[in-house]
Amino acid sequence: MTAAVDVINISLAYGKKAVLQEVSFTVNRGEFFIIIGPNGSGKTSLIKSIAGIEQPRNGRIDILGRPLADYGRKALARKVALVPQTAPVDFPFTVSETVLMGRAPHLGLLGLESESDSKLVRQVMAFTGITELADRRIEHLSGGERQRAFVARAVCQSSEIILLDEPTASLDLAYQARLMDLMEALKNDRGATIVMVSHDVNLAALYADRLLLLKDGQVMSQGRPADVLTYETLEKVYGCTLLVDKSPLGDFPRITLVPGKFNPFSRSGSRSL
Amino acid sequence: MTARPHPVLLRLAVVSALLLLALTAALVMGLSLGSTQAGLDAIIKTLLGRSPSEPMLQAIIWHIRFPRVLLAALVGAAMSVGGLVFQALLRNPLAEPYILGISGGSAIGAIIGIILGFSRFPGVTVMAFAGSMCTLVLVMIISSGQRILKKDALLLAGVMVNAFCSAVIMFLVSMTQDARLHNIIFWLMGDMSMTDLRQVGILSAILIPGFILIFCLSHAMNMLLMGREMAISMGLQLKTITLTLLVATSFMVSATVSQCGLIGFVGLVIPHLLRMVLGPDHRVLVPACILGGGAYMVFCDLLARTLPQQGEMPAGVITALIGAPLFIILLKRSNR
Repeated sequence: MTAAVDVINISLAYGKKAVLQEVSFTVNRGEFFIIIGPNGSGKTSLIKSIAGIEQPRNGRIDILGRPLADYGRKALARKVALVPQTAPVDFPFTVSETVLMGRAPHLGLLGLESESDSKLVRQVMAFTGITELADRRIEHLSGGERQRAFVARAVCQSSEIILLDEPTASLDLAYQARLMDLMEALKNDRGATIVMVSHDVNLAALYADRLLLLKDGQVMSQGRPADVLTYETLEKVYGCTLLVDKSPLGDFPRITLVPGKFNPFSRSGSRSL
Repeated sequence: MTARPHPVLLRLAVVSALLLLALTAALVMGLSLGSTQAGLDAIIKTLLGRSPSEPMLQAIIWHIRFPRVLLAALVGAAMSVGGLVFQALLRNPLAEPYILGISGGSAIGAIIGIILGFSRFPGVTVMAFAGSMCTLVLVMIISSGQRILKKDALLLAGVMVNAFCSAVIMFLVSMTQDARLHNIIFWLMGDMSMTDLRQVGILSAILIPGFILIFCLSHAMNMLLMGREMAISMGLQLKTITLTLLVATSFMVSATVSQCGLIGFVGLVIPHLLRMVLGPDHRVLVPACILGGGAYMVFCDLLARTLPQQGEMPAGVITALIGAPLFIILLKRSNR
């Protein structure tokens, strides 16, 4: 079976600053794949490269067995949808107009939707819990409501692969769980492939089939959560003291921050124990 | 499937019909009113072509006023659409070719063209286009790299470029003792009085394909509002679309500037009012701006030639008198 995303040895730099260095990994079809790593480790650049927004300097990315560069923009948009980390929030479209725009790669030049498109939009809005917001304007929503509208827009794109860049960052606990459950349902029921960037290692441990751990633009580790999220690896990558044990929910690693080990006011300013 | 029309098309049809009515009314008013007074029935007869008895009135209406109102409608349409496109591209409701200095750049190019003795088309128009592209690039360079307050940086760059353009224009005018520049100040403020049907024909041959092209890209403009990353991920050819819109709009603005000088703020007033009433969908806004902008400009030009007791004033005076205060109100609101 062909892989959903095959990243082969890509490197990316902004000016002289190397952001990604010889990164390689494979995401299987129907997999929940989460990319984690410290700030500035290149997670966002990596997911933008898979979305075709950044062009890596070296290496190649295959989407569903075909080089990304061979896809036209619209054809790629039918296979890959993206929920970006930051989006402008000052545009005056309503929630339902925004969600409907996700259908664009399936529509003609003027983006006139059919009855089946409108039906899909209503369905997706219902299970992302934004039906009541349909006629509100994006610019008047809270961060969490807005994020759900953008996720709904990406889901409406009906693409096999959904990329999300820190989608839970502005959501409260209930909607974090709801969003992750939604992605898992898309994976299980629709065969979607989910590639997500996350800061939250515990959330990643609970939902990911496999993880990719990045640091300074390089792959530190990849594999099942239990294999990646070990005390040794995490301490090396994050450089802080952590407690790693097993979640009471089952065979998932659980990471707990150990507080009070870094004092900026101490004379040496050291972070040693 | 039922044959019921798509809701967007339905709205488009209703809005277009209403604004077409407004445009027709403005055109009829523009044809009827002027320094030569005539009875209403005589004018109606002449308009309907049933008044061979009054050759004088016929000449005034069909040879002087007719090209002029058509020119005003075209210019208003082009300026409004120009404003709309820039506002979508820069995601800034205050963007407009005049405020960003694009029109000023066209004017410099046009004046150089006039001094070099080029004909109005294609020579002066091409020079005006070159001028507009230069200022466009200049504004972009100045305002890029200013991460914070991107909106204000762009406006500030526009204001600076605009001031510089005005200085260059006055410099060129002062240095040249040329009879051709006799009426240049008048022309600069947007003068519609010197036109004939041939020039109107050339201008519409440039503008109408431009209007069609921009309407075809109206859904792309909707997607542009959602930002670069989302637009690309929804399959938008961002670079191609942006470049096409920029070049087409600048060319249309240049063509109007070389025809009748600088007419400011139309591209701010009309898109803003229509957006307030009709919402942000460009598939409705583009045709609405063409028709509504046309009607507005015909009306402004009518005021410009009927308000003064003697002679007339450039139409750009009227548009600036209405537009500049509105710009200030919008600026205050957007910074709140």
